[in-house]
Amino acid sequence: MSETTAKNALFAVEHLTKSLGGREILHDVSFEAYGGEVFGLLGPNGAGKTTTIKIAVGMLMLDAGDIRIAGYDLRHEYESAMACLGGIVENPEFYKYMSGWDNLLQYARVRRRKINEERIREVVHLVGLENRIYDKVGKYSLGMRQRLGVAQAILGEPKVLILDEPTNGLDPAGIKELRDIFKKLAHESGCAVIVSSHLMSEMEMMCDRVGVIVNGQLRCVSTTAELLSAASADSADFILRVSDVRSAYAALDFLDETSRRITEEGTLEIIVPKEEADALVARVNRSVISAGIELYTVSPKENKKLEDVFIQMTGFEGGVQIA
Amino acid sequence: MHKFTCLVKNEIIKLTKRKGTLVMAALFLAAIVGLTGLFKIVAESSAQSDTDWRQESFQQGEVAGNVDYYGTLYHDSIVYDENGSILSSDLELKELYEYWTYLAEHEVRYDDWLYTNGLYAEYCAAKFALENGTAGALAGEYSARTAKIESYMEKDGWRAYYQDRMAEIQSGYTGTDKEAQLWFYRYSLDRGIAPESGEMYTLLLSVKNAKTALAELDASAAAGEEISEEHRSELQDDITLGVWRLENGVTRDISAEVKNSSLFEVEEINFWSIFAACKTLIKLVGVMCIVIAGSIVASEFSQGTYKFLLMSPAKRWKILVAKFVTVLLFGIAMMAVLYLLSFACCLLFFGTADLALPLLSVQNGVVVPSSPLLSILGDYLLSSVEILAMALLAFAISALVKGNALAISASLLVYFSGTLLESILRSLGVDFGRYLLFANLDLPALYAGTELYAGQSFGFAVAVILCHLIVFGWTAWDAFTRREM
Repeated sequence: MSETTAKNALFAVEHLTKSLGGREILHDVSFEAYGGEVFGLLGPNGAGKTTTIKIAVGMLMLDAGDIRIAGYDLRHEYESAMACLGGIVENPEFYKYMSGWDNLLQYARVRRRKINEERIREVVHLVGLENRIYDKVGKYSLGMRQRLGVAQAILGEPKVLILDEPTNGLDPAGIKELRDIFKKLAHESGCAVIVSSHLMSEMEMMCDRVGVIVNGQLRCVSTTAELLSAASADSADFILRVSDVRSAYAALDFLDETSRRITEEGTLEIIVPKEEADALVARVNRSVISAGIELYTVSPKENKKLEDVFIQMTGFEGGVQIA
Repeated sequence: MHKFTCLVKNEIIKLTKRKGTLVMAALFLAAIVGLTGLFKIVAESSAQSDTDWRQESFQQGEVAGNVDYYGTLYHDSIVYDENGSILSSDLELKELYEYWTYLAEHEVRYDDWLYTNGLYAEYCAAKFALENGTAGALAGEYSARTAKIESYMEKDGWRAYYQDRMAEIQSGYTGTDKEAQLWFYRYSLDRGIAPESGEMYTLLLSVKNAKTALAELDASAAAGEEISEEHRSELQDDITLGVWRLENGVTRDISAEVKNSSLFEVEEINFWSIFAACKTLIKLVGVMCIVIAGSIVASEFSQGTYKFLLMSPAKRWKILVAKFVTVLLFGIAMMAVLYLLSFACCLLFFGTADLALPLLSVQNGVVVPSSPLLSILGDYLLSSVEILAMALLAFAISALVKGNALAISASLLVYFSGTLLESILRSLGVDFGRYLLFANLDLPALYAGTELYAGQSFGFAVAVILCHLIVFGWTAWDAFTRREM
């Protein structure tokens, strides 16, 4: 406990378990997000990211475990916990027949601490909606709704900000703006910002640490840098250009399915342990050629990205499907 | 508490910013003004077309026809001799012909007291007898009688007639209504209530009739017959009330008008009858509350805004209660609008003349005047229980389903089919129907003593409603607070 308080764990998930309709969605998930960091929640579709977030904002009940928000137990001190939380779940939805301003007022009114008009203006300015804030939300584009959602989420100056796919529907410039807002909130205001996204490049640019959820279980939690270096430390990636990708894939049956895949560009990607890299690449070479497939090039993959780590970790199943 | 107020405030803003709500409220206001205005128009056009039939003189009515009819019959019955002089004729027809001609010539009205007491008929008969050769002692009697009736015909002649009648009754009349008759004549003479004097006279007659009925009832009781005690006390109350009204000069009895709560059963159009009949529109408030309650939770799901809503640092049950409080406030506001606006419209259309009339009732043999405004307000309060029950039902359905339209239509369907089911059960004589909510919702009628099922009391109805309220409330609570969203 002393360790976590020292690191100021504003958002703590402890042994979270949840079943829906007889299927276990989350199994014993534990992680913490600290003040001052952007924490990324990564996982393929259906892994349990949104479920975790929905439990955290009180839309779903947890079966076992605990969630603490700024030290308040979500189950027993619900209102205090929620008072420290801001967020977006899935697509932000608003009352379409009211203006953006009126929607924000709705949100502001029920907050514990008083939110004055000046604060609302400030937030509206921050997300760049000044020109349209008095228009009815029904006339907003998806991107504008997303901006309004962010405005609503940060309006109450929450200690913990939870954002489910926050850059959905935004143009590249908008994505960068928001990324900067979240980083600033975490690094300067000391918030804990928890972001889930399927855009790995996004996460890499935004997050200080990431937790990877696969099939309802937390695979690992580490800093983005650690994850990248750890991944490149013990394995190597190679790209093979061949005449028949499918046959080549089949020929490499001595590699397990988590370490070979067909990429979107029509090449074959293999991941091998670093210490055996030379021997394995040679064997791959032989197998492809002896299967009667033309092998044009074998090149090491440079600039390993979070996406690759993620795919490697989750065993390709989130990537391109194999016929 | 402050936060809860803010939650309610949020709900009210959401409700009032929605176009549907505003349109509905505007239509409701238009319905109140329109309906009262419609009755005003109907009242004016009927005031032009029919004057009171009693005020019509015989000339315009059947008399002219009778004169013609008997005249023709009589002339046909005449048999002439060869010189053209009358040989014989039907005297009976002649007498009738002359009687009707007399009424026509004197422009006697239907409500002429001499006519209603049969004095014209008597007068004409005596005259006819004298003219057609009655002689001797009988002739003397006839001429004395015609002179007497002629004296009654003079101004205030009714006093003499009443005094003569009293003397007659006292000197040997033995009918059961002897006391009632004597009271009637004595009271008329004491208070100077002339016949034909309009409402006071009509009221006096009704008291006399009640007294007569009571005397007859007591007579049959004395003869050993079984009588209804209830009927007897009703008659006594009628008499007490009638005498009170005579003493206080309150000729208008508005109790039936104030108790009426249906626009379809308005008998006479005036301030109180229309103001009270506007209670029919309470049903509209009920339907509006069902629509509002049905959409207030379900619309959050259909719009996806429950995500926004649940971000509030407030427990779910508080959000739910805030929503129901909003429905209640809406209902109360609409009831207040209905009461005040229909009152204002009635004042505008029918004037302030009737405003001071008291509502009279007899309690333990004593007349208790009360304010009709409060009585109508009481009916509003009793009717709001029905609205509360239906709103809570719609609210529970709203918390159970996700679709907005589904919630509203399901609620309305339950409301209408439930009412229908209950009346079918009742017509089939299925006693179980009494436990249905819909058999117990008409609290104003139940309070006034109407029973749909034998022995169904006001307390029973309240108990049934309470049970349903608990079930609906619990359903809404459970559905919303434990729902996985």
